[in-house]
Parts: sequence; C-alpha cells; structure tokens
Amino acid sequence: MPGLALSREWGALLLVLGGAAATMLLPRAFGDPQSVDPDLWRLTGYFAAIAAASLLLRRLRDQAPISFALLTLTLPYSLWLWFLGYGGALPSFLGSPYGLLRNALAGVAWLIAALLMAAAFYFLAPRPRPQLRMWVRPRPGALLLGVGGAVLFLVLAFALPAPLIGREGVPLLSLGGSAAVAYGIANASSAVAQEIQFRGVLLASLERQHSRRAALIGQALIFGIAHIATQYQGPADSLIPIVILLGLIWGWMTQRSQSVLPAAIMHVAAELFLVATIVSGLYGQ
Amino acid sequence: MTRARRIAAGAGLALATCLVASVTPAAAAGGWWVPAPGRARSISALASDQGQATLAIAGGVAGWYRPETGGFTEIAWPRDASTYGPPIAVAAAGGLGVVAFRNGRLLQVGGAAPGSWLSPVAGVPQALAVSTAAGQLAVASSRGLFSGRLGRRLELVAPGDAMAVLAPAAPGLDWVALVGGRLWLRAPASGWIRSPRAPVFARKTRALAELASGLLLVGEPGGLVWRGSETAWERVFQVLPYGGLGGVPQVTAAAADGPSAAYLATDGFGTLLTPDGGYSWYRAAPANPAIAALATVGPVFSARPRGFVIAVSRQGVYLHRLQALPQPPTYTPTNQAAELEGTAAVTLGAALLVILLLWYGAGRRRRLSV
Repeated sequence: MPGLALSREWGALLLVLGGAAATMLLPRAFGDPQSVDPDLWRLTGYFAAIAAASLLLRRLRDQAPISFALLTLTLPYSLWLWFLGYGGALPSFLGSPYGLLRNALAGVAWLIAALLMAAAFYFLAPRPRPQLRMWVRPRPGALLLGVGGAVLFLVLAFALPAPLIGREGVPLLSLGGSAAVAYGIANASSAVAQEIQFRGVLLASLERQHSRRAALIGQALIFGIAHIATQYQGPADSLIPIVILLGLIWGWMTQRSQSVLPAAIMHVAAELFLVATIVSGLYGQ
Repeated sequence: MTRARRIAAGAGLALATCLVASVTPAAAAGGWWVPAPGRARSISALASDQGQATLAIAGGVAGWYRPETGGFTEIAWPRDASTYGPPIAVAAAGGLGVVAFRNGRLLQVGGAAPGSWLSPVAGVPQALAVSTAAGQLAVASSRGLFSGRLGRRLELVAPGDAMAVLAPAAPGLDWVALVGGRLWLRAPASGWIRSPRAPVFARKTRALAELASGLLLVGEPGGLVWRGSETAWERVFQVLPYGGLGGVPQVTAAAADGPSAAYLATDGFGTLLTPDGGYSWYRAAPANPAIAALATVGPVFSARPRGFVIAVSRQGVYLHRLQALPQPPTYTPTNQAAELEGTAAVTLGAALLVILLLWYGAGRRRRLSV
C-alpha cells in the first residue's frame, strides 16, 4: 500500500533526525551550553555511524541514501570548522586561526568536500543513479532563472523593512580591500557547497523515496533546521522561516531547471549581500 | 496505529520539543534596553557631564535630569525669560550647565542656585559646549560658531550654519565644531581653524563625537559615517535604506564612550555601537527605533562598565547598561574529560538506538510484505 510505505519512509527519516536532535541537545543537560566539543563533529559522528550501518547491514540498505545524504550535510561543515581553528592545530602556512586567509581556505575546503561527497554519493548509491542535477550543461533558461532570481532577491531585500533581516548598514572599513576578497571567496564557496549538499544530494536522496513535492518540502525543512545552529548575526526570530522559504524556492528552481546552477547563483548573491549588510547584534541577537 | 508509526510520532515530538527548547532562550534574551524609571518624558535635548549632572529639555522646560530615578528638577530663571522663546539646546560639564534659548539668550546654571544670564549670540542656537576646566563656552548657531570665555562676550569665529560643537573629550584634545558641513578645530591655547584635511560633509551634519583617544566620528544625515583626525579621514560605515519608500534613516546624534567606543543614533534603526573606533558595528537598538538625542553617562563599553547610555525618542527615554557576558565555565581536566566521555556516550548511544529501531522497523516491514 503506497500510503503506508510513504509513512514508513517518513517515519524512518524522523527517527534519524530525532536521534540527531538528541545527539545535539542532550549533552547540554550535563555540559555547558557551548559544549566542550564542536557539536557539528558530534553530529557528523552520529550520521557516519548510521550511514556505515546502513551500508553494512543488508536489512538497513534502504536507509543508505538518506543517511549518506545527511552525512554529506555535516562532514564538509565539520571540515570547515576545523579549518577555521576549532579543535586542533593546522599548519601555519594556512594563516592564523580566524584570519582572512584561513576564512577563504575554509570556504574552499567546504566546497571541495561537498563535491567529493556528492561524487561518492553518485557512484556508490544503488541503481538507478540519483539525479544530482550537477553535471548537466546549464541551458540559457536556467542561467536566466538564476540571475533573475538574484536580482529579485536584492530588490525584495531592499524593499522589505531592514530590521526583518537586520540589513541596516555596510561596515565599509572592515569590508574593504583584502577582507572583501577573502569574505567573498569564503561565502561564495559556502553558498555553492550548500546548494550541492541540499539541492543536489539531499533533494536527490529524498526523491528516491518520496514524491517530488514531498522531497522539495522535506529538504527545505531540513535546510531550515540546519540553520538553527548557525551563528547568524541578524535577528534570530525571522531567520528560520526565511531560510525555509528560500529552501523551497531554491529547491523548486533546481527541480524546474534540472540544474543546481540557478539556485547556486541566487544563493551566492544572497550570501554576499547578507554578509555585507547585516549589522551584528551586540550579544549575538 | 502501528508500532513504527508510534515510534516515528514520538521521535517527531522529541525533535520538535528539542527545536523549540533550543530556539526559545535566544528569543527571550532580548530587552536589554529598559524604559527610564519615573514618568515618561518627551525630551528634546540632552547633555551629560559624564558624572552626576545631566541637563535636559523636557516639554519645553529645561531641568536637571536623573535618569536612574526619573527625577526632573526644573531650572528657575527670571520671569522675562518667556519672551526669549523656548529653550532648545543644553550643555553640561563639571556640574555646570548652560541652556540656550531660541532667540540666542544663554543661561548659566549650576546646582540648585538660580541661573545667571550670559551675553547672547546671533541666530538660533543649535548646539553648545562648555568646559569648566578651561572656562570656555562655544555655541553653534544658525549664524555661525561663537566662542569665548564663560561670562564674557562670545566672538563669531566661523560664519555659516553651525550644527555641532564639542568640548575636548580629554585634556589636551581639540575643541571641534561643524559649520556648514566643514570641520573646525581649536587646539589648546590657540584659535579656531578650519581643518585642512577633513572632507566637506553634508551641510546639515550634526552627529559628531570625539573619542578620548582624539579620534573623531562624523555621521552625515544621509547615513555615511566618517572617522578621522587632523591628518587623515576615511569612510567607515554606511546606513542602508529602511525599505520600500522609507529612505535612509537619518543619523541624528553621536556620543563618545571612552577612548574607542561610540554610539550612533538614527531615526529608524535605533542606536548603533562601534567598540573599536568605527571599524566594526553592532546593533544596540532600544524598543523604539527613532532616536532623537543620545548621551553616555560614565564608561559603558569597557572592561568595568559603570555607566549607561541614555537614548531619547518621542515615546520616552531608554537606558542601556552593558550586560556582563556569560563567563565560560572553568573546567578541571577531570570534569572536562568526563563531559567529553558523556558526550561521546550520548552520540554513540543515540546512533545505536536509532540503528536498532530502524533494524526492528525493517524486520517488521519484511514480515508484513511476506
């Protein structure tokens, strides 16, 4: 019965995500809120265990694509944190921790790791091959969709009240010169990496088990949940709903154009805009 | 309801609870600006000597204001003052205050003693500054910048539409003023000169702050903020449009806070704080975003914050004290290792439990399909 099968697949996904939430939040009961370990690494360990079990145990093979997709979300991000200087020393030629060079390199490392994970997902997943929508040559319509979406985002971002996202000013001095280049590379790389992770791998893995619409909504919700842990500098209240909405738009663009490129173009524009214009809250609020 | 569905529903509920719990503290942590105690006042001008004396104009009446208690003691002045128009600007230093009236009359006040009149200036006063240490007074009026010794006749030193003037923020620093968008400086024991290296700011620029390090911050009404000194100037911040047809919020005031920090007031985004002389900026906005005047009382952004910021809007007065940031817990190697082991155990335990439940669910499905 298809309806029952659909519920079971969602149930398994909710179970995996519930375990992830427990892994993230239970240690707060006996530790400090910031935790002594970078919590993304903890989450990566959890998803790696689930993915390994689903690959090794035949009975869990159905869960392999989604658990590997979830690992694809956290492993590159953990690598990014490591590059930034969380937990463990890196060679000095990579620049000082939290420095501009390290920031740019961390973004590029995140992108490379996401690409490698996507390639592994593509070649290791059981047939039929997942639709990653990354290797196809983009059509002019797809490019137009991306550029048009980016322009529309900027118009809306200026038209809507600034406090909604906290885009209140541009710190010209701290964003000038080499900082602009470094932050540009770091944030453009991370935006493309996120498109590969969410609209490439996660959307493809959800589409293997669910309808296109359900997969679209599912990846947008997970995209929103993943941003709860983000160190967002703007108002926290409006972040998650906006991120879920953007996840829906970018997922729709990817499904419509059969390419992650339009969503990546719009995401890069949005990321650079937000980095340049969000004024931080005094206590991270 | 099947067992698998019950498990899924329980896990979903747990996930939702965890998510709500993790988001709630962030939302509840706001509100670190508080309305000033006492009766809500509509203050139009404010000046503090960084100590006990804060002078304000509320409801067209000048008085000594105590932001901590909300107390307001009206200043008594001669009966004929009603012909001078309303008080429109104030200055305070070393327990002494000066109130400027619309027709250019100036009233010197100090403590509970009745005020004494000073010689007037031409034009409508827009800002004034007083220094008790040097015994000097300067008034920025619509006719120009006037300066001189307290109690003596003030001389016109720069004609034009003067919008702002500041007494030195620390001994040895310059007096500064903005006249028609041009910066004027007066070093100790010398006369006023137009700063040769400062850019020409917008004509109505009034937001000016001198940090105790000598660094100057200037906020143009259009939202461009500059920083500089006698030798070099650079753009440091640009306020963006509010949205829609709202235009860019005007920069209405600036207040220095020690050697490197300053607050900037806008009429749309509340106040902004720079802790490092304009390099980085933070939102430090009270509930009402339209701020008309600003003053700092004592050090606010410092290692030992003792003071507070006063932000004035049409809806009332707000105070902000820098909250102590949460101290990171101190760990001994033993309890840090225990926490790491506990965290690893939770991770491993959660993974094993989920794998077992998935295994069990898959087995049930297989039996059902058979």
